[in-house]
Amino acid sequence: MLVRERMSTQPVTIAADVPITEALRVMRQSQVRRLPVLDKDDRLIGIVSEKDLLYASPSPATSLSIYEMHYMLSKLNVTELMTPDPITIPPDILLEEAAIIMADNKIGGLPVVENDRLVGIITETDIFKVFLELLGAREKGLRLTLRIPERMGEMARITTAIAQLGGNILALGTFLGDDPTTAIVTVKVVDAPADQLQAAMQALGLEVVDSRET
Amino acid sequence: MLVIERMSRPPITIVGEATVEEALSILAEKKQRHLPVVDADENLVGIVSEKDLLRAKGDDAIEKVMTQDVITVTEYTALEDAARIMADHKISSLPVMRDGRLVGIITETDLFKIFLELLGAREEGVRLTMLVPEEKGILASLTREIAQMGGNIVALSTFRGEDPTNRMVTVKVADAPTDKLVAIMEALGMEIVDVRGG
Repeated sequence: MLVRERMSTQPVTIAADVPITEALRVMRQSQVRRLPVLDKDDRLIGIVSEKDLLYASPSPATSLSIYEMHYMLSKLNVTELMTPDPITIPPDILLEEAAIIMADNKIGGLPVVENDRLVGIITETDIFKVFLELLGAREKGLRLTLRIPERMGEMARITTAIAQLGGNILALGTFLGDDPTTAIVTVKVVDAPADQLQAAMQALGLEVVDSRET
Repeated sequence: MLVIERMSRPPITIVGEATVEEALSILAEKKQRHLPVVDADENLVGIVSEKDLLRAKGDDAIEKVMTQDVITVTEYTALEDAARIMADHKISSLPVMRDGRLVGIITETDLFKIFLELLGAREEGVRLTMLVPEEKGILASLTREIAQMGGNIVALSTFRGEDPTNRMVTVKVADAPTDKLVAIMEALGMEIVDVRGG
């Protein structure tokens, strides 16, 4: 799965030379938490997040009047609060590579750039939706969690046993186990009886950690 | 995989009488974005987010700015259900309860790390993405073929396909030559979308 397949194309952007009050208004209106900042030639020069703006806004506890505060904010431009030269990615990298970059740098969104042009933005939320899909979170079925030994052919044995019972696998995901010799597999299955499935897994010598209908 | 396996505990909390300023300094120190609010008996009474706090006055009491109707999960909620609740309610953290007591907190960031695991993002191997026809037993043939050629599956996940007749499968395989792997998958009728690593 590539970033291109899940990014938002035509992201909402903001010009560098507008007041932060305008940036806040745009964010609220378009319900986004960050805006790529473009210069006059539509080149990406920064990114500004709602949090950057909120931290910069004077707390209502200051002695400034509402009028003074608004005046101050309207004098402060996006350029002064944006993160310049943000980390960007090309559209053809893997979704999980984008996820690693976000996790390692503790950032919630990455502008996607191709041929020096901003072509999209991908956020934690976009990746979150894929995560739901991956585990079949919105599908009904029997959900089994298994602890399996980390050895060759284990996955083949599991999926074959499910197929033999007439089961259809809606989702399957592998996680790290408690130690390097085991892995955790979560699988969502329809069209096979729960008791038979559990028995088949146990017959394979696998530990059924959890079993539930969803 | 259940919430209990990945939640943070014990959760860092704040009392309703504390001020916004105090809460913000705790968040900064602990690098968190949310704080569950508890009363003197440690009952959960609300939750505040960094954003709630930034929009409030520094000397406001937490109980004035917190969200009172808190959505919670239990330790035995499936991780993907926790993820679905967060996505549906557009929230990024959930207090975890046991018998009406707060025992932990699970956040979007915790789930994010699991996502990386699921795709074997930090492991070595050939990574194949393919469109697989939606038919019973297809994953069984796929995994069997990989095992037969000596490959070890380090991660396997399924996604929505382009239409209901197929689905997208990403698999990361160690100990198998890339060209042979690709040839075998094509022979099974898989459409190879992307190959990398190895």
